[in-house]
Amino acid sequence: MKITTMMRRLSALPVFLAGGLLLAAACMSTSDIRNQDDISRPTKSGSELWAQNCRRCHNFRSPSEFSDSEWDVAMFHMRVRANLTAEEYELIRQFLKSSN
Amino acid sequence: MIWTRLERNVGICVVVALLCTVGNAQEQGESKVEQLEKKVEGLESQIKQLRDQQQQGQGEVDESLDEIDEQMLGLSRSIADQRPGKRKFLVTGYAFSGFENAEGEDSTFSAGFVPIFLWKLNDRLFIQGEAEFELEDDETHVELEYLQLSYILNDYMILSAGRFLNPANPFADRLHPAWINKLPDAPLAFGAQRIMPFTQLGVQLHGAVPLGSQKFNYTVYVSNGPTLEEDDTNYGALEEDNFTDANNSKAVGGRIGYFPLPELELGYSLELSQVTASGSDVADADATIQSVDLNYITSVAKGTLDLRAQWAFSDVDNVTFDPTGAGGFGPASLNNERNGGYVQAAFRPSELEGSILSDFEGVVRYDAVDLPSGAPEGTDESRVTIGLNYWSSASSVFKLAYQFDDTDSPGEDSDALLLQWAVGF
Repeated sequence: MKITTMMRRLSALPVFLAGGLLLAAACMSTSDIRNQDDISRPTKSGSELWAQNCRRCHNFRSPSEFSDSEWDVAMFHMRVRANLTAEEYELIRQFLKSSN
Repeated sequence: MIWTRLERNVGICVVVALLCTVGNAQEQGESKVEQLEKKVEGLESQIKQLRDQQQQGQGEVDESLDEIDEQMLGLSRSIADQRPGKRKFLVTGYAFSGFENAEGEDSTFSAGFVPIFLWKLNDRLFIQGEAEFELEDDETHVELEYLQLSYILNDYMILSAGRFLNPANPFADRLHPAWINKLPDAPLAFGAQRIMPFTQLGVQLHGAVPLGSQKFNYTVYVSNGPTLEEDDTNYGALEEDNFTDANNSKAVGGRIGYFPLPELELGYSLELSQVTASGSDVADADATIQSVDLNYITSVAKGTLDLRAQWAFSDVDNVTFDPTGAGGFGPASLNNERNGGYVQAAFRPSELEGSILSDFEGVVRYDAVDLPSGAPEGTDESRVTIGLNYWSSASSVFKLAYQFDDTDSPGEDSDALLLQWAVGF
């Protein structure tokens, strides 16, 4: 293996180290953020999180655009696509469903 | 004697009177009876009529009740049909229609329809697929743009697999849909002259972690990765449609995005891969693709300022193409380093209430690609595009743009007028 190739492989190390650490952290945690005290939780309301996160890519979609059931799916889509945390996802979803 | 006759006469008169009285009374009684009988008959007739009416009314009431019962049953079925189960489905997506008049080319209309199918199977499992129907040349181009199966591992980690939009390429991952992209076309480096892949076929681990008021998101992935083009028309370029991997080596990559402010995201991504196809007479070549990006969206001067920038760098080992000359163009080699990206600013006075100006948005973008000297597919190119958008709703936009093109090839600059109407649904 050429040195340049080896260097390229090594340069990826931080990325995968970070990934490994995250995986380890994930394995230690439960799926409920409310049980964790070591990681800060969002202190913002659902409307604030909606305003911050949604417009990073697109215009605001009106809460009345979808039904509650449709928002459940659309927000899950956004959780996956926009890498929202579970808390952000839940607060935004509740805000949209209470405002439509 | 007189009294006797008188008594007799009186008696006779009395008898006659009594007889008359009795006769009259008898006649009068008979007529009353008849009257009463008639009244009784009338009453009986009325009672019968009332009974008939009641029966008829009851029938109508019964019919009405039956109709109501049927309607209630139908409504119950409709409600049952609408009631969401645990599995939830939604179709969303976008459509667009455009017109392009570029210098040196025939002007043309274009159109595309891109539905996105979403299934939330339960609180952890999610499937999303995007189909793309686009009219190109003389045929309808159909493509499975992405198909991603995702599983929520925990609050901060999602496992996804399939063909997914390249998470190392934020323009492809988030901004390319026509109703989101603020200009009618994509930057060169992520469109016509791709420096980095638009999609990946593999597995990724991704999520976000809050850190106080800040946050970062991350993605790491393993994929088929791109392959090295070896044809005379594009040798040295990377082909991303590598659905059945051309070699046994997998690409590894990732991106980290950091939010020092809620409005600002800074990102860095890296992908490493071995790109030469198995069995090729071209030597094994490694490719390193890096990208940096900035996204800043904030409210300012009664409007929304949207700043985007992304620049990608591709470095592929120098190898010799067509080393035997059998292809008729070799041996050929390149200093195979490329870079390209864009910087874009948009402003919309969205907070000017009651003014039609709040629906308009101005956009300016600079984009460029820097290709290796001698690359067969083209030369260095840069463009400045100025656009004006009209938002008829939050997800419907009419775009008008003019593009100033500058290439290293004399006489090949291709300024263009671009129009597009895009709707997200």
